[in-house]
Parts: sequence; structure tokens; C-alpha cells
Amino acid sequence: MLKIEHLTKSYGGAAPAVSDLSLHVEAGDIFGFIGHNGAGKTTTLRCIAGILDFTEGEIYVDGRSVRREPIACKQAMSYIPDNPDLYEHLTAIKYLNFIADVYDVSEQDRNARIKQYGDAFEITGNLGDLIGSMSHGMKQKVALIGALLHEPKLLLLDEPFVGLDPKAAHAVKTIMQDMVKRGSAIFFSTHVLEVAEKLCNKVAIIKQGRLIVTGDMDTVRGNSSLEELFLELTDK
Amino acid sequence: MKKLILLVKLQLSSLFGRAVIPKKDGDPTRRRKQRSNFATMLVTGILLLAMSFMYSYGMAAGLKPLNALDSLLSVMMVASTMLILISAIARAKTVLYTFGDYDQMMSLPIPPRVVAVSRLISYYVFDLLFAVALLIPCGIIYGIYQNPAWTFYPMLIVLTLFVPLLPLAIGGFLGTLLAAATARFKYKNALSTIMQMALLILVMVLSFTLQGSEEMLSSAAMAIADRVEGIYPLAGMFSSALHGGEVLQGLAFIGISAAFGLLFSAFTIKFFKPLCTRMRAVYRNRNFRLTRQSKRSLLGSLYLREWKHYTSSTLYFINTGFGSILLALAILYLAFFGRNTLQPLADVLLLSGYESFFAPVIASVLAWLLCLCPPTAACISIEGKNLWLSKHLPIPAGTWIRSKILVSLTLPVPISLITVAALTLSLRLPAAVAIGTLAILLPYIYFFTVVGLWINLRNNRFDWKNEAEIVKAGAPVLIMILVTMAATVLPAVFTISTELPWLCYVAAAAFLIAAIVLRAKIEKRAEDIRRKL
Repeated sequence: MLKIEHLTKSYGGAAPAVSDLSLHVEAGDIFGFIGHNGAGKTTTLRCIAGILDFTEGEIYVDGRSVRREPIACKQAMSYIPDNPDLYEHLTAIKYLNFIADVYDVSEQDRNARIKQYGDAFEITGNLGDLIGSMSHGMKQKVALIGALLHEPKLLLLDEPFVGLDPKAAHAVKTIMQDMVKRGSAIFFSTHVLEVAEKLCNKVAIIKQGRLIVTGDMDTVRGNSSLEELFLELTDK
Repeated sequence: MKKLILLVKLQLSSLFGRAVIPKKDGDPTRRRKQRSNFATMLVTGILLLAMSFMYSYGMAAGLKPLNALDSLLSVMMVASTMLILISAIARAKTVLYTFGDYDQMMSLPIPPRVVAVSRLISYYVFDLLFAVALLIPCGIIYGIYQNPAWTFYPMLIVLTLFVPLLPLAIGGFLGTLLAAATARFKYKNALSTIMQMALLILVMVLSFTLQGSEEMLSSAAMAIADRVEGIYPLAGMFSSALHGGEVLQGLAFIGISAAFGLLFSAFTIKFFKPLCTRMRAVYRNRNFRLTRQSKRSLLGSLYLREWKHYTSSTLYFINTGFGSILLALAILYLAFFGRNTLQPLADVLLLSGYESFFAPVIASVLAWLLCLCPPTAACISIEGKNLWLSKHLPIPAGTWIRSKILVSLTLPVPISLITVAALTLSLRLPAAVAIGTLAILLPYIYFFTVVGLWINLRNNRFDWKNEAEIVKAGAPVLIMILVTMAATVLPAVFTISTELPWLCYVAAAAFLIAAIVLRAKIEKRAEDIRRKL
């Protein structure tokens, strides 16, 4: 579903933010992407999402190159940044309709899914509010609903649990598990290693722009916890 | 004091950040962009100053033979006061109270009064530029003609510093009242926009009425100065202090301006936090029920989103769309209630054989007023922190750009049709004049829209904290003001001076072709351009 080959991204003359990164996310994976602050997680996610151009390498989403077929790739995925800056001048429902129009979601599907996810996140009654009036957590929920409306094949999330109340966080985990059962893939970054351990079947650890380990969660972790492994690998 | 200086430096660097000499930076792309932005701001500033010099020179050349050069100072002073007043009303809310980093500022160990003072200083500095841009060139031209005493120049500089204070105080107070009054309404942005426009129209109508439009057009220069100084005594004090060397008048001017400035500052500082809280209040819909949602086309959806953004930003809308609406109202008023004034003029021109110049002149004036600052000049930068959405969503870049062009054309095109129709019907102009006017006007509108977009695609910033930084102080906006002025005035001047009315039609055709070619180029490379933003 997602194939990254030798991705390198540099900002001008500085050391590359991401260097020669390769990994593979298959349908049905919940793939955790962990690393220190500034390790290159967000840069990687933004390159996949088509927001950042990259220096070298290639990224394929559902078999298509992000460089050569950007619209087709974007149609197949959704991305939610850690701090979603949505259109503050729109109400949540107008924003969701806008997103549904962009992804060409039918009226029937959008009505059903807005209701479904709005109820799951308990914000159906707030969908008439301006996004600019919402708290960070509520904006996060609106962004999540928007990302799920077209049932993406690949869901990219940058710190998805930050700002969510426990009920909403639980709802997100349930939704993620349902999605992968239907054949989608999820690739997300997080600092909450316990969540990554419970949720993810695969993991990659990045340090200073370079991948230091990747693979099945059980194989990578071995007998230690993910936290112990992370600390051991990133302190080297 | 240290904290105040820090805050002021921060705010001014945000407002004028692109106008500083580029620092050494490891990123060659960013250095190139900084150099380009710096060069753009520098060239634009120089051109604006040059225009101001030319304007003052033109006025001085006309006044000198009438021995009325002294009135140049008071007239330009009033002109800058009016500009600052209008700007102050429009910017009060966003610059003083609803700036983007409010939460951060107020959570720091900085007293709210210091934050308030820093905002007031930013508010003042921006409008000081208007005063400097108009009055210093005017003063220099006056000095060249009149050869005043050496004290003229230092006094000009000192007095210019105080010119913005009174209009800022009045405009700031009115803008604050307006914003506070509309804060709790559901459609507060729309209400605020309408009320601000109504206030600005009232200010213009009052000043026009008080001066007596017909008399002003035909009165001698001394009468103009007398009128201006009668309505705005500070203009008289300013002028007397400068050309008469009357120190007491100068001190009175400084005293009154400073008093108004201090009063407004005291008001803002005292009520800063409650006003910020009130203006940041948002309407919450307690009775929302999820109803059936309907689908739109991609372009339709993008257009609506773009239009909603445009109209929900009072500053953006007023800065770019106010001219169109004001023009429509003015033309409709003149066409049906001012016919007695215009009809004789129209008849004389029609009978004198200058009918063929009607269309070029009307079209040039309308084009300049409608497109003084097209919305496309800021339509890319206004994406701000939302740019990631435009880049990530599966929206073809060409469609994204098309929606912005459509929004920019939404007001001027229908308004141009309405105004031309109104003038034609009320003045009983020949149909050929109406058709000729539109044949020039519509290509001009399209050309300025596409050029504004092109300039903003090449020169943009997304890290702004309040919209004034890109809508009023942005380089693309300033460049477009110069472009529209040059592109509308020069063909008209050549047409009249060469007595070749077809020149304007040729210019319009050339602009149309240029716009079509430019737009095709933009759309061809749209994905690449958007990727690099």
C-alpha cells in the first residue's frame, strides 16, 4: 500500500532531515513510526502526503508514484497533521462537505459517515460551530472525520492521540482496527509507545533522519518492551 | 521597557519581515526568496515614493502660477489624514485585538498594558508610512519651489510624526466600537464588513459634501485650502507652522494630535483585555441538527470555500472589494440622481465630436477603480497555515487556481456591466459607447486578475499572524496597485494626447492576449508551482 524507496529530504544546505529511508506498509498493517523530536517523522509523513517535495528517492501509494501521479495517490489516502490547521472560517459541517466534494463522496455515503463518526466522537451537535471556535481536540475530531469520509486505503496520522479525550482516543483505535480489517493500511507517528505497542503490528524507529530498525512488532521488540528498545537504540 | 522593545521588534519584523536585508542562511533557496522579497519591497517602496513625488510635483506646478503653493501642504496633509482614517477603521480589530499570537503573548510574564502598547505602536508605525510617503515628498517639492528657511525640513519631519495620531485615534475608536458591537452575532464578520463599509462611505460622503463638490472643482486653490483648513483646523496649523514658521501653531498641532493619541491609547490600554475577550468571542449554534447534506462539483465546492473565506475576512474584502461596491453605488447614484450634473457634460462631449473618446476614458477610470487591488494579489498568501490542505487534498492545481480567478472576477464583472448599463441608460449614450466601454473594461479586469495571481504565486508568504501583513502590507498587493495604475492611466493618456481613440482598444486586446497566455502558462506548470510553495 505504501512503499518508500531511499527517501532523502534536505532543506537547503543543511544536513538531510530524512536520509535514505526505505520501508514498506502493506494492506492490513497498523504501522507505528517512532523517533525523537526532530528525528524526521513529520518530514517523512509530509513527503508521503504530497505536501513536501523530496530530494531523492521515490514514494508509491497503492502502486502509484507520488511524484508522477499525485492526484491519484492523494485520492487513495488521508493525512492528519499533529496540529490540524483547518479552515477556521467554515463551520465543521461545511468543512466536511467540502472534503466530501473533493473526494467525490456520494451524498448517501457522506450523510451516513458524518453521522456515524460524528456520533462516535460525540460532536454531531457541534458540527454547526465555526472551526475557529473549536478547541484543539474538537478540531482534531473534525479532521479525523474528514479523513475517514472517503474510506482511504492509506491513513497517515501525525501524533493522532494528542489532544483527544480518552473516549475519543478509544474511538480512534477502534476505527483504526476496523479499517485495517477492511484492507486499508495505517501509518502513524506517536510518542505514546504503550499505544504503539498495543495497536501496531509493525514498527519503524527513526533517529536523525535514518531508519535504525523496522519490522514486525514482536520481532523488533523481542523480549523487551518497546520503550526499553527505543531508549537503547536511540541512546547509542 | 525591555519587554516592550522585544514585542515591538517581533511585531514589526512580522509586518515588514520580508523588507529586511537577508540574513546569512544555510538554505540557498530561502536566501534567494528572501533576496527576491527584499528587492520587491524595495522597488515597490521606491516606485510608490516616486509616484508621490510626481503627484506633489504635478499639484505644485498647478498651484505655483496661482501663488497658492502654501495650500499644497494642507491639502496633502488632509489627503494623508483621510487615508489613515480609512485604514485605521479597517485595521483596528485585527491589529489591536484579534492578532494571531494573542494567547502566547498574554500567557508570557508581560503585563497586558505592555502588550497593548506594543500593538498600538505597530498600529501607528504602519500608518506613519502613509504620512511619510505623502508628506515628505510633498515637503521636498514645496522646499524646491519656495526655498524656505532651514528650519522647514526638521519641522516637517517632526510634524509628520504627529500627523497619524488624530486620524488613528478616531479611526481606531470607531473601528473598535464597530468590532465590539458585532462581536457576539452569528454573522459577525458579514455584519462587521457591512457596517465598516457603511461607515467608510459616510466618511467619504460627509467630506465630499462639506467641501462642496462642484465648488471644489472650480474654485481657486486658496479657496480649496480655506475649505480644507476650515473643516480640519489641524491642516491649517500644520501648514502655518511649516510655511509661516509659526512655532505656536506647530506646538498646538503637536499638542492636539498627542492628546488624541494619548486618549485613545489610554482607552485601549484600560479596556484591552475585555475588548480582546469580547472580540474573540464566537457564536455557538446550540440548536444545530444534522440534516441531509448535498453534493457539489469540485470547482463549485472550491469556489464556495474561496468565496466564503474572502467574504469572512473584513480586511481582505474591504481592501479589495470595497472599491467595486463603492463604485457601483456612486455610479448608480450619479446615473439616477446626479443626472443634472452629468447630462450637460455628456451632451457637450457628444456634440463636440469627442464621442469616440468616451469609451476609452470611462473604461480606464472604471478599470482602475474596480481593480485597484484585485483579490488574486493576496489569494495565495491568504492560504496561510491552511496551505497544507490545498497541497494534500486531491485537488488538481489548475482547478484550485481557477477557483481563485473566479472569486476575483465575481464582483468586478457584474458591477462593470451594471455601471455601464446605468450610465448608458441614464445619460442616453449611444450603444456603441457602451459596447466600446465593455470591450476595453472586461479585458482589463481579466488581465489584472491573472497578473495579480501570477505575482502572488511568485511572491508569497504563509507565516503571517494577522491578515493586514499580506492584505495591506504585502508586496504583491503594493505591486498590483502600481501595475493597475500604470496599465489604466498610460493607455488613456496616450489615447487622449495622440487623439487616437483606437489605442485603448489595442491595449485592451494586448492585455487580453497577455492574460490568456499567462494563465495558460500558469495552469501548465500549476502542479509544480504549488508543490514548491
